[in-house]
Amino acid sequence: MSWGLEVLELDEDADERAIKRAYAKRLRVTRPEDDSVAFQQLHEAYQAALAWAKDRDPADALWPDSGPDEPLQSAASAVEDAGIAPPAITGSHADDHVRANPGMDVEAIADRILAEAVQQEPEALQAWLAQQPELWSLQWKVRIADSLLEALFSGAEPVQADNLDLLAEMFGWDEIGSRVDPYALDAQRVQMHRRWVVQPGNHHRLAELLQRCGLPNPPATARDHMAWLSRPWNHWQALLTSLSPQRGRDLNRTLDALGIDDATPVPAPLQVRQIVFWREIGAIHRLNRERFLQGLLRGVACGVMAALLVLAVGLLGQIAAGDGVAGIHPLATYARVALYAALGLVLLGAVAPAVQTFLHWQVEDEQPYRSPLAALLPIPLLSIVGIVLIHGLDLRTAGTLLAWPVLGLSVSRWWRRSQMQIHFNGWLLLSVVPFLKLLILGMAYAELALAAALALWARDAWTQVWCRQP
Amino acid sequence: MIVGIDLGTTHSLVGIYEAGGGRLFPNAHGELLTPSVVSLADGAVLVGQPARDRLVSHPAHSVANFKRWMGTDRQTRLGDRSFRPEELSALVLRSLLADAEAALGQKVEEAVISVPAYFSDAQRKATRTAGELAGIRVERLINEPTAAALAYGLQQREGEDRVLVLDLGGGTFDVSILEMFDGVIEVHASAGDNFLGGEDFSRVLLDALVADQRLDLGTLADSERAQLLRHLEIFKRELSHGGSSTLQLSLGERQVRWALDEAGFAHLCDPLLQRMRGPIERAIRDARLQPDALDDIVLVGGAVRMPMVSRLVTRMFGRLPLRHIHPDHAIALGATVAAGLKGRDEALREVVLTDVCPYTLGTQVSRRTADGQSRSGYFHPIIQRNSVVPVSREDQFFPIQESQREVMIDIYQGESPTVDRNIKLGELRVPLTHRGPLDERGITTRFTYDINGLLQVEVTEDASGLRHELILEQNPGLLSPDEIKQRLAALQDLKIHPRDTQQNLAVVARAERLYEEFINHRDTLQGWLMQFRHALDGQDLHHIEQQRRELSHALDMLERDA
Repeated sequence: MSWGLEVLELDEDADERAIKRAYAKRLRVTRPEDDSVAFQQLHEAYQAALAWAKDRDPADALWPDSGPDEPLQSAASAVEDAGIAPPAITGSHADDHVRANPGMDVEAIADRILAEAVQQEPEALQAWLAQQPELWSLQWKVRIADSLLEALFSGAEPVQADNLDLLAEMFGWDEIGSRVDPYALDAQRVQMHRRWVVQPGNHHRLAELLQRCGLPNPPATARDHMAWLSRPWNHWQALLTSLSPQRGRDLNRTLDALGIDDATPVPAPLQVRQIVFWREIGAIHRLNRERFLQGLLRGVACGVMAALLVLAVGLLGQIAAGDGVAGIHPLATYARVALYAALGLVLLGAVAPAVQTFLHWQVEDEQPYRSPLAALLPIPLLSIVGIVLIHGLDLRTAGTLLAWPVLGLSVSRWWRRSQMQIHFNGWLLLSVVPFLKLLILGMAYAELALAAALALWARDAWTQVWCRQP
Repeated sequence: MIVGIDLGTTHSLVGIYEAGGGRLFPNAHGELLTPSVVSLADGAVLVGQPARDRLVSHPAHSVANFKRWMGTDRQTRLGDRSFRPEELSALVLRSLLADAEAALGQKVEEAVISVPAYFSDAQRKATRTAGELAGIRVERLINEPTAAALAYGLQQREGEDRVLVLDLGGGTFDVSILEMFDGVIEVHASAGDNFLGGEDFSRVLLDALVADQRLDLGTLADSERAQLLRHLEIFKRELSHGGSSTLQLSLGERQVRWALDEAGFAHLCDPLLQRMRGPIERAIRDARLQPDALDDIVLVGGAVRMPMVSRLVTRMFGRLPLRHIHPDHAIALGATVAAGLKGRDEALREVVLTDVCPYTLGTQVSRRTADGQSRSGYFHPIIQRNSVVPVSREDQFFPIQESQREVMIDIYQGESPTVDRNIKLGELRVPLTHRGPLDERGITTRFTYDINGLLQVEVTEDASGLRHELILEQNPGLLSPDEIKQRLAALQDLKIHPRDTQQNLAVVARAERLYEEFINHRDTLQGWLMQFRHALDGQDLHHIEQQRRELSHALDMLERDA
């Protein structure tokens, strides 16, 4: 027996009419404007009694609902929620009492709506949606909405963000009580828009996106990059293209603008392999095979060019000196020089990625690295090596040659990390002059350079370690 | 004596509840409907039809449709004074109260004013402030569709009825679903759109005309523009009435001629009609009602005279809506009933009204997402929309981080699941005194929304029992009590033309408007005006009345023949 019926002083078999009459009678005495607490209790009793009567007699049911007010996550807790609500509505409307309209296939209608949303522009879609007869029926609209939501989340259709917004507004997914997590819907929106924007016909929209992200010449860039990223994978071709540093940077910026990184699924027609390759090329903070290959190839290219240059100089010199091509011996010297130069450049090319990563590790922020404290080690280590070279092994030149890059590294590290902004003015330039004098002294005395490097390093390390305190 | 007032976007009415039912009071011109237009004439205020005529003749000194600006601090310049929307509404209220006092023979102290059901907290407070500025107490506001249902429902006291009320006024659209049984009128759900009304339908016509005739509105003088709008209003009415009509007027040297039929008008307004679907669907969803469980569908508000509105309703519900309730008077009559209920009128002893809070009230929370990150900006409702008022609900919250020393409870109103699209009402900072693990540092927040629309927030720290309270009386952007006092004083300085002179002023205003509109008859009108003004100076009341009647008649003939 419901407590509501007790409060209203009714029997167990009281019907809706009797409940209402009893409530009305009591309401005249306990008016909402007079005694709000008592009224609230009365009203809740009334609702409870009605719910009881409805459960007892389901044929008398009103709109199918999921039970007493629980449309949302219960018990607000800023911490408790284990995860986001599942994006699809759990079929609470599925078990309803609506008379089935024979021949009305909810899923087919939802699929048709989805197809239109994929193809049409927003205004046309809105006009089309307004005309659909099935959406005028209030009951069917809800069921179609459920089906459509499932189709959207489970499928991999490309849909413009504007179209998805239209659908969300039409079916009320952007409202509270809709049981759709707003962030999940937003993530889905981003993903669908991304799929849509890389489709061949939509380059102009991609160009708009790129323009917003500051890329130069958006329309050409959009077409060009999409063509590249959709090309079938060919390692050599990709490596050759990556020789120019600009291309790698630009492609990475486009990928950033699209929000594609290692974790996201790649929309067709883009090739996964291409994207992986370009991302690896752009990952300066990590040593990987692709970058090594790129460096090597660059070295080879430079080496071949240098060798050819040397040989050409030699040949021209020979011809100029009037010896003719006959003199093999001097040519052999040139050839040897060319070979050494080429080999040197190839070696440089192979080592360059490693050096770049090292510098990135030292100078840039700590974010992607697991053990930021380890980055503090190289400078003091190198300084010790320098000191040992100069005083221990008496190799002053080598020591000085080492001291200089160490100082440079220390300065750039300190500069980047202290996030200083230079405002150029005359006074500042004047204050730099004594430093310049010191620099010149340091050229002679490597120890000064190393000391300065260590001093800067110490200050930076202090800030870094101290800031890590909670 | 408590009066009931319908403060509409285009028209306003005032009345009281008497034994026989609601009685509406006529204004100085004998009309029940007073246009909600304010005009400054020689430093004194004119409200109503004369002000509306002056929209054409003195556009810089007149203003209409200011209900849409309530809740904002938009300033309107009339001559050399500037007014806030609350002040303009207060001037209209004063005029209505003068009419009521003239009819009742006694001073009016209190009123119940109708507001759109979907008016926000700020807009409601602005309406109350307008009452204060008009010199009366406004303790209760009644939602317009509820008022309409009151007027309608009192006609049938027996049996039970489930009614859907659609109120399409000049500026707002409201939907309410009510149930009436045994004298109880229970609102189940309300929804609406504060930017959809008859004015928007007129706007559609204006845009279509401009496109069709290739007009440039920027080149029109203010008075020409006002004329155009006036003719469009009449045109709109003719279309709704007759089926097809032709708009003809001359703007400067240009002759405008435009023919349109009702079907074409409906086609142009299709986007607006589509916008009406959303609130209707939401109200039915919230009321948990099947569409065929509705017994009646009632249309109120001037704009429902357009056939396209009935057609929309028929298409949605498969049946014709009822309209045997006067669309212009229903809300005002309902407001008088509400006034009678507040004043405990004996005849309404059996009637009880329960209303709902039309929007969700809640606070901002953070949640932990699947990957362990905490995300803020979620809107967590505490009072669901369409809960019966008065209502009090509480919920428990916890801080997110161990190091938190305080929790910020910010209070939002709206339907979006993220707070950035909702309206912020206020905030309460609660210091956490208890230390310990997170689940011992909970706080309980209680929201109490009373029948007058006042929200009270009470936060209790569970561990220590300390309480913090916030009563949301003040809204940023609205007037503080001191400011209200100041403005009240300023408004009281402003003269309002006494009722007996208003009829004269009305006729003068009408003549001045026609002077603007009928260029060919300017000399004649000038002559008549001078003659009438001369009579006014003479101060012979009988003579003035006679002249006024003659002038009115002459103006009628002029408008008819043109």
